Amino acid sequence: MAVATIPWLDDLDVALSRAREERKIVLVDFLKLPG
Amino acid sequence: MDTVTYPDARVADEITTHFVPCHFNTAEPASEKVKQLSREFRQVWTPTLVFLDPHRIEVRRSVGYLPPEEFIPELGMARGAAAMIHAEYAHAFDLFRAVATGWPEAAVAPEALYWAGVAAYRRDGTAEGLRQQWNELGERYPRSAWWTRASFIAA
Repeated sequence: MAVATIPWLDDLDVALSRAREERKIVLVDFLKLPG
Repeated sequence: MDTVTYPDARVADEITTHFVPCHFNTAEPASEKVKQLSREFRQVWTPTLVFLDPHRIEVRRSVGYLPPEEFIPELGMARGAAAMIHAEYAHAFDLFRAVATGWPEAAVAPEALYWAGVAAYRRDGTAEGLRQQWNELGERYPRSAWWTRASFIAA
């Protein structure tokens, strides 16, 4: 089965702007990725 | 979340349809930008998920790992919370009901019924819809903390 890919952004201002345009909610994930 | 929940096709579909996903790696050495956001949103643990409306207003947050069967209804709760904050009570009611009926085994299902009652009250301006939802909450989840919060209606 294919693994789904989520188009994560790393700029909150860009995400908020897109949310305004697309009438969506911003999901902010604070995570720890191994170096 | 990255190994189990996010690769799930149902989760990815829900996120891409209704959310703009944004993530920040807090592992040291974190960038100054990430540290500032971490302070702004009072993030003290990972994973911390913060749901924001387009005006940067926090509508809900979730801390800790959730498998797909818990995370998808959590996304529904965030959508319902955003609708409530924007006074879209009929829409909020539908979203909370969708969580309660679509994910009855999820941890947030009792909370969904609680908020469906609140949304019905704000939508109608009467207590009838609220009583329906909260009575269902008491019948289906009598041991839940959310029924405790609503149980005065049975007094």
